[in-house]
Amino acid sequence: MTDLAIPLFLVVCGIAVLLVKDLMSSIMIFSVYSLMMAIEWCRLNAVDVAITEAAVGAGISTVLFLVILGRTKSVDEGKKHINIPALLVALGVAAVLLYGTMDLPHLRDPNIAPNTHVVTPYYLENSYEHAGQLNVVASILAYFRGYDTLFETTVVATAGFCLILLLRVRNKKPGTLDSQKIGVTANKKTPASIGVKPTATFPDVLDQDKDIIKRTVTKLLIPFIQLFGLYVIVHGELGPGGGFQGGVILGVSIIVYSLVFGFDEAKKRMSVKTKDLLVSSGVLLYGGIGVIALFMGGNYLQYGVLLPDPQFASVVGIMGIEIGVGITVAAVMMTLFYETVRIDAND
Amino acid sequence: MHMDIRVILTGLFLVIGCFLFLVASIGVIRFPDFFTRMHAAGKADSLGQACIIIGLMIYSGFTQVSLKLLIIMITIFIINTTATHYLAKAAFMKGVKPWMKGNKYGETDPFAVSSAANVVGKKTKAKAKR
Repeated sequence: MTDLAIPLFLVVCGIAVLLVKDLMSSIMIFSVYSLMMAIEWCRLNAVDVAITEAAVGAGISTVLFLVILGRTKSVDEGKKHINIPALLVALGVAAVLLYGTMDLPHLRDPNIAPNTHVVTPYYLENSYEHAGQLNVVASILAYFRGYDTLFETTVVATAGFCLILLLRVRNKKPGTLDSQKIGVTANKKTPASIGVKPTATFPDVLDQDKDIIKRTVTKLLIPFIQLFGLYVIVHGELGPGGGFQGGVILGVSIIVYSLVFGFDEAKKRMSVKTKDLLVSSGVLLYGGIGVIALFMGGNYLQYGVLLPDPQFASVVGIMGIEIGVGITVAAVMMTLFYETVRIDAND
Repeated sequence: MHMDIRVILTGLFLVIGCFLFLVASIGVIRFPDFFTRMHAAGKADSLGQACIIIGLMIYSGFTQVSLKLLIIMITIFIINTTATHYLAKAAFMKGVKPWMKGNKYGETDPFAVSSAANVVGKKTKAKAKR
């Protein structure tokens, strides 16, 4: 039953995103889509992916969409017309993808490629012995396939650098941002300007600065969000999670702070310069552990040579690279938010 | 038939939780405007989830799992009530008018398309009669 229900709901959400005229509703439906996707990943036993999908898809991307929506109109005023070539291309891509799914194995098929491949028993048997990891996923990611993860982290960091290069240079040119500035000021609607008379019974409701509830709740929650992020990074060798997921959660904590207390306050806690340094220092930590292994007489990213006890050395090395991945991902998530909001701050 | 007291208590809490969710779902559909609907939904998301999670905690006993469930419950309690508060505030600031005594069903509801169309239709008919 659930085999069909969740994918069907996903399809309904996907169509609804396109059909809804109000872009705000569209973003909300997209957020629901991401959450359902996370449930589906969970059901398929891919809990790591589920954590990422819930944090990035439903959390950060929704916030980014809303920030960008604040600068444009929230209603799609375009005429309804069907672009025939675009429709044909979309249908063609859909047909190719559907054809591709015919090669996918059935759900819970025991004879899928990962189960029959020759390398699988090697990973399963040597995970604890070589890498000191009980979680085979962590040992494959960080030990057997350490290069892949290193380059994935580099790709994430490169994306962060590209964001900084693209958006920050544009900020420094005065005159190019006039339209956006107008958008920002137009967005600051007071209740009076949109024709609502505040009733005498709710004077404090409209006063944003005195708003104590969100400040208190955020102050209460942020330490726990950060603790959970650290837990996910460190606990990656035993349970689901790891550097990528924990980093996203750590990044979210700063984004939440910035949303509630304002961008200027957030910059006092995590300055733009520190954040830029963190983007590269995570990759540096990861690559540096590999270089240290080279100096200790091993191969690149061979953690076993770092300490006298090879198994314990692997655990320490994998912990180190997970922390490196976490730092980079957290900083890139903050970069995404900082560079999108930055134009608002006019600096 | 062996019936543990723990299982019975778990079932009791789950039934209470499901009942609250059911009532809230009916409320979300039946209530006349945004604020009353949110009032219904907020009850389910705080008290309903609390009942269901307490049931699960009783079922799993004094373990690490119940500790995690307790943390989840407290977190949802805090976040959900705050979210409900800000939804109401955002709607109020945006100009959604609360439903008052004497209003027709769906009169102040911006989302009730069919009933709003009915109201408009009646008004035009009334004008035509004049």
